[in-house]
Amino acid sequence: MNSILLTVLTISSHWKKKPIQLVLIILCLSIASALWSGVATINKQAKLSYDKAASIYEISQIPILISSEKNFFSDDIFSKFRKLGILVSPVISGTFKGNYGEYEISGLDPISKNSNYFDSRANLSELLDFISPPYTVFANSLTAVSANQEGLFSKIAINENLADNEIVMDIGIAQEILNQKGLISRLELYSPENDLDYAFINENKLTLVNSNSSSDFNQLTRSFHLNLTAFGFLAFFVGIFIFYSAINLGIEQKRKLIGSLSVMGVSKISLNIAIIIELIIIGIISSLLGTILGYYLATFLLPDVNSTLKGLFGVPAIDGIALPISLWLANSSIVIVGVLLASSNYLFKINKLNILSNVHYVSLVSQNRSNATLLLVIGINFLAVGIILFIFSNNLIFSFLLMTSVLLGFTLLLPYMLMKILDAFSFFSQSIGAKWFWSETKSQTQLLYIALMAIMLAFSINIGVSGMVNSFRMTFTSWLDKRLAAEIYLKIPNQKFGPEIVEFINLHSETILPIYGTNLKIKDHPASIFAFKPHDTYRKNWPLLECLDDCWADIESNMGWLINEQFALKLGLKVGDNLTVNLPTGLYDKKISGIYSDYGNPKIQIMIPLNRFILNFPKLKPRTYAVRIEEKEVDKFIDLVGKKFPFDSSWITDQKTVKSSSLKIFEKTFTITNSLSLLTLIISGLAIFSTIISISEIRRSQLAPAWAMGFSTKILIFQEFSRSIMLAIIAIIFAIPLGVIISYILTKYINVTAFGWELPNAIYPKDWMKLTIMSVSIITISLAIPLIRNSSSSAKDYLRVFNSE
Amino acid sequence: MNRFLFIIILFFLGLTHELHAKSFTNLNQPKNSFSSVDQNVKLEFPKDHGFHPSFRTEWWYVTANLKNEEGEPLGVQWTLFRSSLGNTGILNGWETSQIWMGHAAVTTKNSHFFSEKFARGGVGQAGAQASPFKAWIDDWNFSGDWDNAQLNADGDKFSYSLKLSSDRPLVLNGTNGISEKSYSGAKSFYYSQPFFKIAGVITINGVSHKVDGMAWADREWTSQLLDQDQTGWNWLGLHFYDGSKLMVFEVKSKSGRPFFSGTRIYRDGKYKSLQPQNFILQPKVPSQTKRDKIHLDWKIEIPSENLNITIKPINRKSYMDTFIPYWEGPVSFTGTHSGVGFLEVTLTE
Repeated sequence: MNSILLTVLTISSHWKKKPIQLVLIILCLSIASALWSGVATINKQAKLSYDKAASIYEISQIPILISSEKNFFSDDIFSKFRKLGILVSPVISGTFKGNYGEYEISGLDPISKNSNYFDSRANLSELLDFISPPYTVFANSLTAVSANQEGLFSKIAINENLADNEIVMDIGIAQEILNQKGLISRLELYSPENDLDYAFINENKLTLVNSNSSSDFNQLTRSFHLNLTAFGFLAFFVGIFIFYSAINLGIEQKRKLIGSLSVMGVSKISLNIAIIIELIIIGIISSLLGTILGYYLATFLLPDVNSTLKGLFGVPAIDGIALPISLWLANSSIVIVGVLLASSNYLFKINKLNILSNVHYVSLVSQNRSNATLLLVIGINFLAVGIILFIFSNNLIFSFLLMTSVLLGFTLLLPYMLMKILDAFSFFSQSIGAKWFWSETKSQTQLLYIALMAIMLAFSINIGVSGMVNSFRMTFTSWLDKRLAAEIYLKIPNQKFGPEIVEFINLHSETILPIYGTNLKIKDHPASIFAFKPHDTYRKNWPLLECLDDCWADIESNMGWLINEQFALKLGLKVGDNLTVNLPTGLYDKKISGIYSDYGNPKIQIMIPLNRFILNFPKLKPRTYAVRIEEKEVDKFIDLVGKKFPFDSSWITDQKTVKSSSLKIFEKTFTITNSLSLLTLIISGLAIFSTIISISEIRRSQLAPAWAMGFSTKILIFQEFSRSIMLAIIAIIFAIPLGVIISYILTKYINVTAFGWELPNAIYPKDWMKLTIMSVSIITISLAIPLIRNSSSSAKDYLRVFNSE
Repeated sequence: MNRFLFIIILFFLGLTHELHAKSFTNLNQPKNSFSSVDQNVKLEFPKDHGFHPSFRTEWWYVTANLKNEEGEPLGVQWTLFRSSLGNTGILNGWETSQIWMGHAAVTTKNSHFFSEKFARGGVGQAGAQASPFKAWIDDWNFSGDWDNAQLNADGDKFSYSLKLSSDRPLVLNGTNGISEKSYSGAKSFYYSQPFFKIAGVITINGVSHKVDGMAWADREWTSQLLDQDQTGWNWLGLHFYDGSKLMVFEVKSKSGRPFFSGTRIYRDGKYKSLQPQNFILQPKVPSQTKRDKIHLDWKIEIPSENLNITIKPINRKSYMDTFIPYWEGPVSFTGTHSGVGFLEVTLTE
């Protein structure tokens, strides 16, 4: 045991001489694990966020208002709503730990809970017992036994419909028991959602959760969650490359030391155990650092994730980020397993090698060459799987698998392709010097190719993601131009003033168009129905993807309907097909006259003329209106209306403001995607940086003969630098077509399956240039630092190489 | 006296809530005795426009007789009741024992719409404050001061927003605002503003009508309104076209001897209390309503004033099918004098 400890100490003492390399290895491992754990944390937060909303909704089954930020909020908001005429009822729920058990407490106000409560006149006595002494609480018979022992409740009424450990009581008592005086968890909404004052909801930082939200959450679980998971995996793949590179180079550097120990009689088993122990220690340190870094990464990205969830899907955010022990443990295990897997290949090789032999390095190289062929075969297999998925992919998981196999497949081809290209250069070179240069490049490649693969992977992901984001931005911007064709938009802050406002605006503008609709189910899918007043605003601008001739005439004469793209893709419908929909006034069978793009809407939608809508939903009143007015009159008009109806907050906005806030939400949606892909790129730069540092000694032994033959140190360093840059650029050139394919998969497969809409896939060479310059800069800096450091190598260093080799 | 509180009291008395300390907290350490109406107390304004939590119950009650642009009669009711489950002294938070109830109604010749609301006190959903005066439940409000006030309420099919104004002083019913309710001493604090002019908009089934007319506001609070054997009442508040007013009520009793009282108010704002011997209030034929045989046609005589009038409802179907049902609606009268007013009839015989 002592000998193993001694061996560990001896092996570790190597780092005393090379502290920077130890730091770099730990840095690489911790950043790789930070990427993974950061994404995992965000993922978990997002899931908590929509699970919270969905689970609360499931309990109440009626629309509820919850805090966008916290678990509890002041019950003052309850009376504020009631004073506005909105029927809400407060509920507080939470867990109470008693001496005899843990209870799920629900506190409610039976008087506001249901306006018909008092209809059950016979229950008045029970009601009064509930809200005043003896403050009856309800529990099932099992819970009642332990609740009785707590001695807290003077009267427990049995209700077997309640779950085990659930106790229902008056809100005042529940607030006291849960130690949340004056606070509530949610407001149940009994007024029509249309009566809600959204400015008021936002001011009070609340979120409405209803049956649609609940189905939206399911949609989210599938799309947003998978989107993040996919990025987690991409980060993990890049991480594995970095792991592999860092660990193997770390062991490689100790080759001589291991040889010496072996000569001194340390058994191979002891050596292996010692190396593994050292690796595990490095793994634990890195994973702890990685978890902390990941936490900060998540904290940095979470506001954007939250605002995306809130802006796009209306899901409330969650307080703070948790750093549970399970995450530390999971991260440590992933890193340690990763470290051991990454090193197993090398350990195996070291065991087989004759430590005393001088040719071991060459044999590692030749092994690498055969590895390149092996990787080629694996890569081709991945691509074959990719082709099958390409043909059959029809859901999000398959689409992500397709992207993964294409990414890995192409990346694994890189070493072989590089070898072949360098062979060709070497073949066509005439001079000895040139042949030597290419041959050196090859041997350098063999040491660098893992880092090069990481660069290729990261670069292609960046090209793909920026392609998708740009396609989307372009489409979205032109779509917004069409969709927001009116000059002014207003949302009536208080429905009571609706008629007065509309009357006033009618007097002062060309046209006022209501924008409203309602939710319903179409063929068992949550859907919305949108009313429009036939007008040139729609005829000229509506973003139709496809339509029949005279489709507007069709629609306005109630012969046909418009549906959104999501609807068409989900149910496989096309223009001209017939669609049957059940509306309050009966079953309608209409022709689909057109399909319009409807980005950002998770639901399927149909559009019908206003008069038909009113016929079916006479009680609904529009809140939002589009106002057409001459461009130059806009400011004057807003001023006039603002003075006439002096409501606070921006209930009336011009087109520019609406567009820019829509674009802002859009940009936020992709902040996380952009940040992660850029981080991946930076990390791949770090990988090549650490690789160059680690291999410099090996390279020095390669360069020593050249130096002995008369090449100056400067020339050698310059050549070394040019070779690395050249290899990186080749990797980047390979990455461009891969990036284009990734972008295609993202826009044509992942978007369709995740969000229900297709994007035109455009190519953005300008972006590639920008990214290339950025990547080459990152790589140049990564290469320059260690090479500059090496440029101080003096004749003495090279001579030492001969001496020790 | 007015009205309806009786019914609430019946309910809440019937369920006498012995408030006792609950085992979990000291939320309620009740003083179980409510304040009683003290003959020596003088009413103070605006303080007494606010609420009196130590009394078992009280109400803010506005009725109005209006006409629309076509001259058709309409009636409006706005009522806020407070009832306490126990005099705990706790006014804020969910622990308070105050329960509030609101009723609003609009009556025309052919239709009658009403709405009802409940709320717990202490959390701001409903309440009343003296200065600036405001009585509210949810978004229904009676606010301003007692010279100029606003009144609004709504239901499924109606809403109203009305302005009230008056240049006459308040009327203190009974003796200095202490109104007897029984022969054995049940009484309440009771004052009125019968001189409100009222105007505004009433919307019925989405159609708005400009209206104006006369309104009557009552304030009353007590801890013991009725005797054990008293079962209900009939109340009338009348606006005479000559500018004078009359309030009379009858408290019914199981023992068969009803209690009568009233106030005669003159156009200059002066008034006098009416004793049972000063007037005759008697029903004509009973009318058939949904549930009960009740009296909707009445005769009043005040011999000393040579006053003899016959009262009939504007809409016989002004039935308030609320949690505790009753009949309340606009009436008109003819005879030696003519005018309009409001009638309330409890259904418990």
